[in-house]
Amino acid sequence: MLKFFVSIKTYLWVTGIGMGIFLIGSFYIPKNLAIFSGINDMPLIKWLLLNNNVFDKLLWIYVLIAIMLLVWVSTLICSLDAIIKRTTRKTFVRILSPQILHIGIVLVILGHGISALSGYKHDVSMTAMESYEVRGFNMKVNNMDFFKKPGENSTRWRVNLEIDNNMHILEVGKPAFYNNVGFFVKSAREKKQLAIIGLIYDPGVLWEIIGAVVFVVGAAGLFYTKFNERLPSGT
Amino acid sequence: MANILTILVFISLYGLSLLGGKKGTVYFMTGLIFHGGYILYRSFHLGWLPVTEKYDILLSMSFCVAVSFFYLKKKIDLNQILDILPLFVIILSLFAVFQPRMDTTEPSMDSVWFFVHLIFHILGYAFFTVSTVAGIIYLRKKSVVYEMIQYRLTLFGWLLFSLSLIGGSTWFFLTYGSYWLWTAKELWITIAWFYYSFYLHSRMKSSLSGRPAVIIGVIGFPIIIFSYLGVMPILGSPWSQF
Repeated sequence: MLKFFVSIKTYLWVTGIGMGIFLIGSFYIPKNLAIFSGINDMPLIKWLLLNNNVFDKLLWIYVLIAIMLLVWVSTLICSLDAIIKRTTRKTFVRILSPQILHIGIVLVILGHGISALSGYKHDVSMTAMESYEVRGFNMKVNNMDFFKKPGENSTRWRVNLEIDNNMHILEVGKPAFYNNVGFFVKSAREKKQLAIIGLIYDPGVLWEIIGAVVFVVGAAGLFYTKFNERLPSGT
Repeated sequence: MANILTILVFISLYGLSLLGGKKGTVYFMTGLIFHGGYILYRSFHLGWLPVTEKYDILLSMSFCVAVSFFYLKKKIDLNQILDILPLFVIILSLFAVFQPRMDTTEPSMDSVWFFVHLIFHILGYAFFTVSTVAGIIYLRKKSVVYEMIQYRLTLFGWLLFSLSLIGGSTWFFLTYGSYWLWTAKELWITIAWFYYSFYLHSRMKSSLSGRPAVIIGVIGFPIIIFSYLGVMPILGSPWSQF
């Protein structure tokens, strides 16, 4: 069993099939927007269960999840095997760097898995001075400013949002985080003084960040070792 | 119109460099100077780093590919390089000619993570392109050194591309609250990432090492070009300025 997972052949087959399914999905989604319109609005598994009536049309996603699970297990076992069996003092950076990078990928896939299983996304439309209670948070929009910067073709917004009596300034690309929930202004209209506030709770993000940091450490080591490796002569 | 003419001037110079030899090198260098000068002009004209639209991104990408000449000429015979490298610089520059020029940005682009994403994206794609050049030279000359150059450049390209994805996901999450979407564009980016990972691993398998792995690596080029330029018009993915 261990041999199966550490084999390069397994990895090549699994990623090959995975790419094939991604390819099918890339053609299938744009042609079936009516089915897939809500897929990005909630955790994947919840969306799949809600759309169980079109199971046959979503089968490729179930197969893709199984394939990604295999990639995850194969990468994890392969890396642990290399770290335990092949790392010595002399080969420390050379062997360990790609394995650290692999562990980073394992954590990123884990983050995707957690995001697919849990969390929520909730949009609420609020006008200036309006109060709202959503998912246990008392929110109030105190005011909103609109302005333009030179060179930009859209208006910027700045929303002063009170969450449980705590003041937060929300701008484009600058959300507020409160009790592990992200508060985003998804869009705003100056004339109506209206803002669409998105509440996003995604526990997978933490694993994505940890995975990204681990990946960058591994990538730096790999850059270093490969950059210093000499090419054989013979041109 | 002046912009297109300038691009056509350096494309012609790169074209003339296909003659090879010393003359070819002079044409190539002159093209490179024009090319670099035009990117500098764009920076001053826009007032920000010219990486916010496809037009500029493709020109920067082709410039990075052209700059690789200095690295390649230390490793590969000059005429071999001038036989192939200018063609790829021309292809990428021609793709730029057909992109609309916007000369504006969006508020969402005002983020360090956005620029991290695009700078690494340009570098990653440039490395992939140069690795394709090395792969083609290997297929013609069969020297193991070219295969190793292709592998190393692809590995660096893949690492840079991965860093670009990290930057892009962070930017997208901070802006829109998601780090990944189920759209044709995202699926093709994932395909491109897995494809190069597939190539890097295929080289370790004895039945695929050498010529088969080199061919797998070379096929990566049309995949990255399609993932960047083809998905939106052909598959109908949402429009994007960059």
